[in-house]
Amino acid sequence: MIETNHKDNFLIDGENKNLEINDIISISKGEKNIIFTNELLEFLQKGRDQLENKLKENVAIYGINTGFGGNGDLIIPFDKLDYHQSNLLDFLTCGTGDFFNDQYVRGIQFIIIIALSRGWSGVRPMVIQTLAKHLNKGIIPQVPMHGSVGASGDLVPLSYIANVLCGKGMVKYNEKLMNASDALKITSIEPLVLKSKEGLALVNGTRVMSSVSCISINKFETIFKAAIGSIALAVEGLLASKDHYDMRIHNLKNHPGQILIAQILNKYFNTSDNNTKSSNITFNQSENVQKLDKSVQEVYSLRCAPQILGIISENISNAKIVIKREILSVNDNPLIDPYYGDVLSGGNFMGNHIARIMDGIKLDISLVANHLHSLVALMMHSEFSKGLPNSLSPNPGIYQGYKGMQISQTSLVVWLRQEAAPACIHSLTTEQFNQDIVSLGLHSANGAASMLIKLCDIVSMTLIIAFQAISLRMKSIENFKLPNKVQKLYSSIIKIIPILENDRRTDIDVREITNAILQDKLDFINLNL
Amino acid sequence: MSTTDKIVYLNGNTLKIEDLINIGYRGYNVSITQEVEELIQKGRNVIDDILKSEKTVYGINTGFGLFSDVIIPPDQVKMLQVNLIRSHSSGVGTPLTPERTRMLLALRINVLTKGYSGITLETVKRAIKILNGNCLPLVPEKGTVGASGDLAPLSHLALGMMGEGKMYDFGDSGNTFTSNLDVDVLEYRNFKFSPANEILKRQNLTPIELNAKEGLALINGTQLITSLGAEAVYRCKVLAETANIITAMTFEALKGLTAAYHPLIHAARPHSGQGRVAAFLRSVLHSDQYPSEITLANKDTKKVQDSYTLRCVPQVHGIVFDTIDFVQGIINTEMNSATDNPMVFDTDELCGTISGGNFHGEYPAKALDYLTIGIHELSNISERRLERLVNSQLSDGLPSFLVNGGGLNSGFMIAHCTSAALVSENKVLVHPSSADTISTSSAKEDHVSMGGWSARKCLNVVENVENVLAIELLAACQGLDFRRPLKTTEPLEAVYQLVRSKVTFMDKDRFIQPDIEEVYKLIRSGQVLNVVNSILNKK
Repeated sequence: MIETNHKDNFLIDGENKNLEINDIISISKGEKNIIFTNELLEFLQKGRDQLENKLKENVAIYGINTGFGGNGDLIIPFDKLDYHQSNLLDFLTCGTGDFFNDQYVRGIQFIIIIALSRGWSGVRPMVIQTLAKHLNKGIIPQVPMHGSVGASGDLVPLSYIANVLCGKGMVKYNEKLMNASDALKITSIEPLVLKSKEGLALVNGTRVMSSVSCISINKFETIFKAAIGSIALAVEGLLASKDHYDMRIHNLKNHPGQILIAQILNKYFNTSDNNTKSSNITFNQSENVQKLDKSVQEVYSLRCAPQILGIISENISNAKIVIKREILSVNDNPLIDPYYGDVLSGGNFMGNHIARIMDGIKLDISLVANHLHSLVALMMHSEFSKGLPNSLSPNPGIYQGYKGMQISQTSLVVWLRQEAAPACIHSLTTEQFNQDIVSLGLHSANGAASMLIKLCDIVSMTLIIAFQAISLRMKSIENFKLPNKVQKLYSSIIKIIPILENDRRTDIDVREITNAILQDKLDFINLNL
Repeated sequence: MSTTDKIVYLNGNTLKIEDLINIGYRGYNVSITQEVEELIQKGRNVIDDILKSEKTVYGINTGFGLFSDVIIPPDQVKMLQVNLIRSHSSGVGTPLTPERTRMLLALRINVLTKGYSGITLETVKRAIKILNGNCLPLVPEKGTVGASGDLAPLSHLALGMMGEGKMYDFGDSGNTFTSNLDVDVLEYRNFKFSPANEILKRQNLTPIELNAKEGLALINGTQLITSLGAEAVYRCKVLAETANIITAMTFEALKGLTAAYHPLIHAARPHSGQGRVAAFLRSVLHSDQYPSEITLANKDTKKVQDSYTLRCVPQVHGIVFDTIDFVQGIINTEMNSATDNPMVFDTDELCGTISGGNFHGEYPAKALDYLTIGIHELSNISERRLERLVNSQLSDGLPSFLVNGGGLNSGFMIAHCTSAALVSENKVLVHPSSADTISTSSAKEDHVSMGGWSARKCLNVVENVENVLAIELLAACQGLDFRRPLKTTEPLEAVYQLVRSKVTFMDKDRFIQPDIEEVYKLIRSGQVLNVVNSILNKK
């Protein structure tokens, strides 16, 4: 039993059927410790014994007593098998770029433990026990972001984590950068001496892209929730009709995501029981074509929010399912059957599921951004906003209002459209033609993570602008009243940023709202995807 | 200019884009002088000397590509060349049009006239007769990665001239087809194909017979990319000038302000294209020489500046002009380049062959990707101006969707949707094809240009821009009708009258696609440009 402190424990039993995305998020933030069942440790040892028996029979097993990759046809002498594994880490340690942030790395450490604990990777129990000590103690390897093509898994970044287990490389411990060997001394953890197969087991597989994807999808769900809230505010600020959210409309189109978004909007507007229309527009019959004071229907960004954004909620749900399956999979090579000892050479390290699903999420991110950009454009132009002053200026002409923010938002939206291009179509051959098709799953995952930072700012800007629109309505319309849940959201915003009453810099407002979104401090209605 | 009486003389150095257009679209034939004949023969002599000397030279008595280390016996050297053409004729897709096939063949002949390919004079002469006789091989447009040149399409070209494969069959009436950029470009064409040997026999022409090196000489090089690129450049030049005119029409319909085109502004930011566009706009908009009643009536406006789609036309269109100039320079050079491998030299320094990489299509590929990015911007900004024309809240008094009786009539509502659809399509097509490279031929061709797609999609984008501008021009004329009785300037009134000679004012909803097509023809054929130039040049 691993030592515990005041934190809750997460029990790992091999199959881990009780694992949820939220558990990974909690552990990546350091909120839970890892412990193992005794049965699991015994099971792992059993699988390890199978492998060692195989090696004594002089069976050629890829990557264990053969060379790696394109050198898979070379046999390694028995007395060099252990050196062969640590050597693997040395030649792979060639990543570049900035380091992953701590949360991603802790996610990676945890996902490696999950994968190896399935028992098909042929490692000794000591390997995952040592890694769990690192995770529980808060030893965070410094892992460069670039270097994985997502075939054979995330080899290069994973080599940094494996090296730290052996006491090599740089880590962050108690918020300080130091040598891995020093951190291990401080924490009284023995460096791991790798035996045959164990280096390969640590660096094969999709653990890095899975960690980035898992944390990103969780973040996207949070931001998407805020985006729906910003739409509700915009509807109120624009005095828009809510007839379009009548559930009879959305139930007829069958899509669960669309129905969900419509339900959320109806909750905001307290219009769930709108089985009778109460805002019919009437006119006097005439021989000539007449012009109404206003249109009988709203423009698409208002009317069709459920139709446009519903598919995104479905995609998020599906992505979570795929990511969870990948995390719970055994995705290194070769696999060692712990029951019969068979050695299975395959390609489960291919990250194509992650690559495809995260490329889809990138599209969704840009779609959300596009949608909010349309709404902001409506609010900012007096001809489209039902009389709000241009750029929501508190005193048009003298003050410019949110003109600067709209320009800034457009810049971000255009950037996201460019970044939405799928990574997975760019496969190139590499590594002596052995990896002649690659998944680029980490490119997809990192791309989504990068886009989410911008998307959150876009949502913040939309919230701020809609908040200002409502503030101006309150001043100009006697008895202007918000539905209860929209009022709560409005009130949670006003606690954080002031109404714009004169021109001032507004980047601080954006940052404050972005932080509030990510820390779940604003009163949004939950989506429960 | 090396054109005399509908003949273009090819010499490998002076071919221009307009020459190529004349050969493809206006029925010009090609010829070579005796000087050129001597140059070709000189190159061939080098090959003949090599064959006698029994040296090993790539592609002459070795296999190709990965087989470059395989020696071919002398008695099979001819078969080697024939096999090369047959094995490389692996293209797929729509056949090149007759016009583009003529341009491709003419360009290939032009390269041969430089004398670096080692081809026989007899083969060149027969190829010229085949071109002038309109015996045009079926060349599928897809299948080149643009390194080692456009191997597949050029092989189909050579295959037809060998009397194998198929050729266009224009029937027995002199083996001609009607074609002109000026008329009927959209008529659906229903050409037939027949076996090449039959077509050649019908015209009493002799198929080419390949000797050593000649197959290679016919297919190394980027002439598919470059000939399509030449057409793209040609149409872009017309299109960019026409876009300025159409902008001016919209400017008048929207009561634009000419202050933004003041020469002092553009002298302060001296980009060549920017200054050129601003000067052009000044020349056709209100001036003492060409007064505009619309502008005069608007002199007391309270508006201080236009939105960017009118105010920044010199800045946005300007770079399009500079881009076209740059690309035209690259394509002109490429059209007059030797792109063979190996190359045959007969100089004091070297008499023999050298293996090199001039066949690589990276130059025309990158240039055409760049041209595509440049030209597509004309449609981006045009569609935004169209939005202003059809949106009564932005058009300073024009009716919604430019039609009376809004509600019962929808006017230009869906034409605007068409414009938006084409603009969106262009944004996908501008992704640079040359950014991709895939290793082929067992990694011997391990870096390729992908220029074939660069060229084809550039033409796709050009056509889309032509249609987007056609819709804007239609809408601008409609807008000008609502400004009557006030008139615009004389050059722009001439454009208005040209359009109205084909398309009437839309007083109520009607089938609008034929209107778009009529104006598209006026744009593509250059008539819109010509009608303005004829007035400007007159004074």
